[in-house]
Amino acid sequence: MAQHVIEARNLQKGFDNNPVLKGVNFTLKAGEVHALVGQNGAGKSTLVKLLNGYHQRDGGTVHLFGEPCHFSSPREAQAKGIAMVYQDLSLIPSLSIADNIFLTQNEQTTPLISNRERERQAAPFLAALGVNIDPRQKVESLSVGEQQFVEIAKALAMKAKILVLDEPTASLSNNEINELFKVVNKLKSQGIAIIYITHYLSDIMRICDAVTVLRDGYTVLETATADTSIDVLVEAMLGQKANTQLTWARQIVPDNSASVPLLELRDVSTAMLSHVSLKVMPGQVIGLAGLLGSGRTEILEAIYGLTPLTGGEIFVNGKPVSIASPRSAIEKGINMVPEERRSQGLVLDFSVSDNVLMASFERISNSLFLNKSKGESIVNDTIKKLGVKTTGMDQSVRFLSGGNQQKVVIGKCLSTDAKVLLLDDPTFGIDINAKYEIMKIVNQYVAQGNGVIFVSSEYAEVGSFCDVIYVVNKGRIVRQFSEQPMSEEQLLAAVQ
Amino acid sequence: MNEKTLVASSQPKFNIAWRDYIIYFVFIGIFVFFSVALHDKGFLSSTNLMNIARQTATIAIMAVGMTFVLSAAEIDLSFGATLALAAIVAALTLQETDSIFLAVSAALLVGTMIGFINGIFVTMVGIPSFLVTLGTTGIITGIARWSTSLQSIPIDNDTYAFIFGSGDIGPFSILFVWILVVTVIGAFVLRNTTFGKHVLATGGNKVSAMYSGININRIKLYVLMINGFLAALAGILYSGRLYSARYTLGENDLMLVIAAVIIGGTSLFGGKGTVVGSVIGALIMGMVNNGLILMGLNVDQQLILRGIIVIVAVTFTMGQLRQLRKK
Repeated sequence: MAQHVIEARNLQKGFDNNPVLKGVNFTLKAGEVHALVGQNGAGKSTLVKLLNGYHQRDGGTVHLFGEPCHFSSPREAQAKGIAMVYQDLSLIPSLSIADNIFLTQNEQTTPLISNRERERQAAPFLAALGVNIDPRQKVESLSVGEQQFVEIAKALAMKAKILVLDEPTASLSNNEINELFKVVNKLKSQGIAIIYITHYLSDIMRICDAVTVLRDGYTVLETATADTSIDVLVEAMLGQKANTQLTWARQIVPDNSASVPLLELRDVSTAMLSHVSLKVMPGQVIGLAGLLGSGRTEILEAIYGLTPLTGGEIFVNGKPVSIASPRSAIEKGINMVPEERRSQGLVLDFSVSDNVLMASFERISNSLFLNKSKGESIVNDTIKKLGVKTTGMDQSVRFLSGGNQQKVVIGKCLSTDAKVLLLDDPTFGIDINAKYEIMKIVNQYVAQGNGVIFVSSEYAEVGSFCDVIYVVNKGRIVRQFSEQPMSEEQLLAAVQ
Repeated sequence: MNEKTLVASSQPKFNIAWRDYIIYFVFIGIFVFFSVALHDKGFLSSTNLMNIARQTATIAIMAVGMTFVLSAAEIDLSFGATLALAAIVAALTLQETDSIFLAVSAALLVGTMIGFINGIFVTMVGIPSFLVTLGTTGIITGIARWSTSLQSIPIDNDTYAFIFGSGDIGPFSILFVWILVVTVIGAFVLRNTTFGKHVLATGGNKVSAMYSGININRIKLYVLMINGFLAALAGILYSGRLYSARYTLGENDLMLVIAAVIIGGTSLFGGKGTVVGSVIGALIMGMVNNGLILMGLNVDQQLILRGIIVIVAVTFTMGQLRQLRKK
């Protein structure tokens, strides 16, 4: 039997008397790719942060290569060969690839640095990954996928034996994902053990050897991938029998072709779009399907007044309008849930209450001053209606989970009484339960005669949830489907 | 179980409260220290306490303006120069017309206009406010020196001097009233109006603020205009207290004002601001100034000690913030 690289038993960790890990077991064997899954808040990141020394455990044991260990800082863990590849990359964009790879190098013996020497030394690490990038290039000129490779090369340069990949595919295109998987296999063949954190269960089946499922701070399943299935994993994550197809049944809306569209685009062009036409009828969810960079986000940005139109017209309730800013969009009853909830949707240090009200302070002010009780009742309504899990409306949103943060953003948009919501990947990076709840909210919203334009990177969601789907490619709408549901495969084929 | 949840939820609340009120403990601590250490020198005498209030008034009023600017994640380095120019404008207008109304309006207009010009360059041209106001500082100071030939402009209008700095109402300096009025209005606007919330949202995350339909450029323009307006008011109060106006007014106030605001609990990076905290911060700075003078230190020593105290106090208040962030 191979020696275990990491063997953690009965790990416990709490914050402010709030236990996050209650009894976690985790075993990593040499040269395996081991998936770590669980809903948001299940304890995945806390476990990883214990292993790499960012946090210190309250209880339990960890053996590294058979020896008991305790790290008081990530630096100590690095010295023992544990390296993190973070979700938000930790590279310095303005420095060269070589500089980034050796940024945390401790073996520098002279105070002088030869850039040429560095570049020469960096090359083999990149070559080991089988990627072809020039180490002299600046990191800012690389794609997200390439940056991730640099991050991995940086870990290799630190002689990492254990790599932690946190949601590595989250912002990658399909091609880049394939590249990444090749690199992962290559690392594996070199005997490097990998902890792979992800929400994409199908990726696990494709690339991982073993899976550990966490739920509510406990390890609920440890198994080889070959012995399990997506259904089993989902069941373990949710703790109950659940619908594993990530699809969302909707009631069929009555035919409303006679009524006036809530929102209509006619031949809209911008710097990135050409001749985009679409219609949102009351009660409809319109899906925009397309690859990353196809122009799907740009369509929403054009509607929301973020990019100026170079041609075409936008109609709201049948009347032509000009929307020059998000402010004027909101006045016309359109609101947007942006792609990046943390950097575009929220003020992280603000309370739940201030975030929910951020777009509607004018609406709750009596000429001069804010009507606190009116604001509070809106916030309370939102928390209750959307099921935001929070210790109170004064809690800072920084401390909420991703799904709850997203609900706050949606709550903010709904409290402006928007008639049309633009949702840019609203379910990105949040767990299945929260996804389901968000879809339910959207469902209720359109049932009241409102409209939604929905962009998602998960085709199964778009395919099953939308009444009309427009396929976007290179800034144009290339196809339109109105029969539903569409399968993931059908859509995937259509967007290529 | 119930007990556990209670503990869990009360814990962070305690931390936050402590951080928010630390400024008051610092204030009381320094006050007690000077009261004991400088008891013989009359620190606690009512004359001296009124002196502190008098000397702090201008700092406090500028700190209110700066609270808005920093809350919106901008900065204004030009307020000291603005203050001097506004005071000079008031004094010159008074000399020419002897009309208090005209003098005050002209000074406030000049201050607000400078803020407007700063704001236009920040929002329309997109130059960081740090650089814009660094540049305008030079321009304004130059104008102030040139227009007065480096001379002090005397003020002989007693009513003006009484209202804007020299007068007493009962035992209280009229400057006390000014501090109170500006603080109350400032605190109310920042906490309880749409504008105040929009300022904090803009400073907290300008992209989110824009997506939420907030006109962030207008907010930036307004905070810089408010700061110009309040700098001019501070200039008027200086001139009323000193019966004259000179280009050197306010030239040493930059560090004091920014330190007062930061010590008070406003974030240097936007999104978090408290007007009352800033005014308390200004009072701390005034108290320290006064205490150091009473101790009999010369100007050089005062400068050094004041610098040290500012850094220590800011370390103390910002250290709290960092701890919270790490969680």
